[in-house]
Amino acid sequence: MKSPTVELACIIDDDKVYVNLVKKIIETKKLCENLMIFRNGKQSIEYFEALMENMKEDSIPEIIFLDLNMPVMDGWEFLERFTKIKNKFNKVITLYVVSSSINPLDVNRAKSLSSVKDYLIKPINISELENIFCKPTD
Amino acid sequence: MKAVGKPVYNDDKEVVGVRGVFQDIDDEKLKVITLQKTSDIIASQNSRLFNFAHIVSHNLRSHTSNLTLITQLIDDVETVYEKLELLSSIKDISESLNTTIDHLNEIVTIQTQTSQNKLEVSFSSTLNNVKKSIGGIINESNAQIHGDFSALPAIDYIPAYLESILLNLVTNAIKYKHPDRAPEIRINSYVLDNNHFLEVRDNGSGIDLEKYGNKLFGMYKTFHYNKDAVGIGLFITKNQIESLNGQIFVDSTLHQGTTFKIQF
Repeated sequence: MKSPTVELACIIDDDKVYVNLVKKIIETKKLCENLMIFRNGKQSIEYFEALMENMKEDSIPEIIFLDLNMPVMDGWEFLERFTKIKNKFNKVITLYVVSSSINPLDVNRAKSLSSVKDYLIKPINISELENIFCKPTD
Repeated sequence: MKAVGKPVYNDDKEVVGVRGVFQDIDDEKLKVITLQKTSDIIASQNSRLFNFAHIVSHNLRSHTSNLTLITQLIDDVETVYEKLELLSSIKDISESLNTTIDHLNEIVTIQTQTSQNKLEVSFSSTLNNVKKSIGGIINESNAQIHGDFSALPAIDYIPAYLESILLNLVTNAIKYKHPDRAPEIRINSYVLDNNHFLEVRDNGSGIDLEKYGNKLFGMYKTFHYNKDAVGIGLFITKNQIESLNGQIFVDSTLHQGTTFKIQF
């Protein structure tokens, strides 16, 4: 097993059970050093927009796992705002949409966005997760 | 009435009259209208069923996918303590699965109960029931509720639905009150062009309809940080109204208030 190359990853999801499980997998498999968790799009976009003002490299995650159905601000609205600021970060941020929606409309819409690397359908499996962390920018 | 006629010519090709038939097509017209209504009802039922199938698939999937994750992880963790921790997650999933199934049941019940007997229901006594059942939060929030049903005191409806609709709208008006003022809710019923209406108007914080308009009545959609927001109330309300061939409309201005209008 390779040692982790990812310093900081970010999960944006309102499903507490899912978040705890992914956290557990990441800890057990030692996939990354640090993990940030936001419960909806609003909390996270506020974090990223504040980060623009005060650019600290080690506060920028290399990978984002984004859920679509969330209260207050959903994944789509997050993507819209995130796409506007994404290129201003001096770090490559790889974003995966992770949703339990198998609606082809959702899948195609997400995959058509340039800021989305891929669409993962829940449940994600452990080896899939390991692959993502081993070559995040591939 | 349908009229079919032909001009009648004389030998010099001049029109001297019209010969034709007047036909009473009232029956045909009525049939077309009934047919159109039936087709509208079927279309709306179909779209509700489609929507429901989608909800079932999505809401159940999120739980089953968590279960799948757990079973994968249980093999991978080493200590008994960690395995026990995962077991307690299974308990959480089972609880949320039950809640989801309860919600789905509630929706199915709506779809199948439309044949339930309609009775003459009085708006003011229904509102009184609602006030009694949420007296606590009404007092706590200092809410003023004014009902004026003089123009239309009662309608034929499923009593439990009318109560549930009013309960949901009034509770929402209080839950999403403006932070700087006590909620004031005005409820009135009226008749317009032979249709029956009920309006619930509040002075709450309002909804950004441009942003949330199309999601407002969706299941599990919440737009606030309120802890008790579940995102099921307006979805149920809309389903109850539509299952009895009515419609619900919303009008809102941010920071000023929201008006829900129901056409029965």
